[in-house]
Amino acid sequence: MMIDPDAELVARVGRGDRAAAAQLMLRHLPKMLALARRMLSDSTEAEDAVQDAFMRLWTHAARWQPGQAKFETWLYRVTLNKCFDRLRRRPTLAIDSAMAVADPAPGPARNLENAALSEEIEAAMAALPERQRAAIQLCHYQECGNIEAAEILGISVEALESLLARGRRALRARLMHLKDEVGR
Amino acid sequence: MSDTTAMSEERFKSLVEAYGGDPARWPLGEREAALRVLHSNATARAGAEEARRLDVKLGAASAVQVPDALTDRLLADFARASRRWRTRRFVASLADAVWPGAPLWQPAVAFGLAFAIGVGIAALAPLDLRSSDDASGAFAFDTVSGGDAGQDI
Repeated sequence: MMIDPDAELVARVGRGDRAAAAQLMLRHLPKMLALARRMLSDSTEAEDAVQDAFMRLWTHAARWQPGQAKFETWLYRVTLNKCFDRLRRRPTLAIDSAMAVADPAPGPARNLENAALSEEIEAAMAALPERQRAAIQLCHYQECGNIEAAEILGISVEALESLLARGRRALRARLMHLKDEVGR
Repeated sequence: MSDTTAMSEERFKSLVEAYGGDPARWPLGEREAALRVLHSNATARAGAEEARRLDVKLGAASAVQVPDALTDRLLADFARASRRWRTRRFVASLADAVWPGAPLWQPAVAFGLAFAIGVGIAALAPLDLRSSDDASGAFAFDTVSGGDAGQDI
């Protein structure tokens, strides 16, 4: 049987253990926020989506049954569904406005060139259809395995590969003007 | 997981198009076979190199930083949620003490029914204060009169 690295923490959260809640948050929040930000291209909305997902976790932790599904998979699926819900409620944004609300580069140490580059990549990601964006975020940035990513998206591995390939083709076309030395 | 089956060039191309040029990102079950194709085929190597160039570009995106205010909000939500559980557990244990082994709705329905019957009885048999020589009515009248009298002094 698969051993879920989060099972013990989730059980403690279910018993009202605040330290366990903080630890679980520390473990998953950065990735969940990255997923939501890239899906929604809006920091405030991403934080709200993540808060909704955590609220679901806090209220369901006591009833969590280990062994049914990997906790992390469930948590990302909840986060992604919260993002899809918000995207569906949104009036359709033009690609340019989606680019305009892409996250600003954090951290004072990052130089302007890298910040601009980062924005270009975020804009290219924001221009992808939502499921392609989710697939690339999960597989490339969150380094999920293909089976886990497919499970989170609720699709087959073949469908995931198709989303990834189409997404990468679109990104390659959009980022073609960037020099190959970028990021090295 | 080791893979001893051969991989076609076509499959290698699909793999690289989906997962990129870094073998570490390829599915574990197909990695060995894909590496064999990579080492033996120049076209495959060129395809992987092209995919890797996109991987490098994507890697230049900035990392996300978690604002402290968000962690505070989430922990405040946790505190509220755990207060609710505690209340719910207390009610459940109380119900279990009154009606052991039953689901919570049964004592809740019993209590609700008892309350509804009580209200029904009260509605069907009202007290008519105007027509009765009830002492409490007279007392209330006296109290009001007494208060007025006090203010006159």
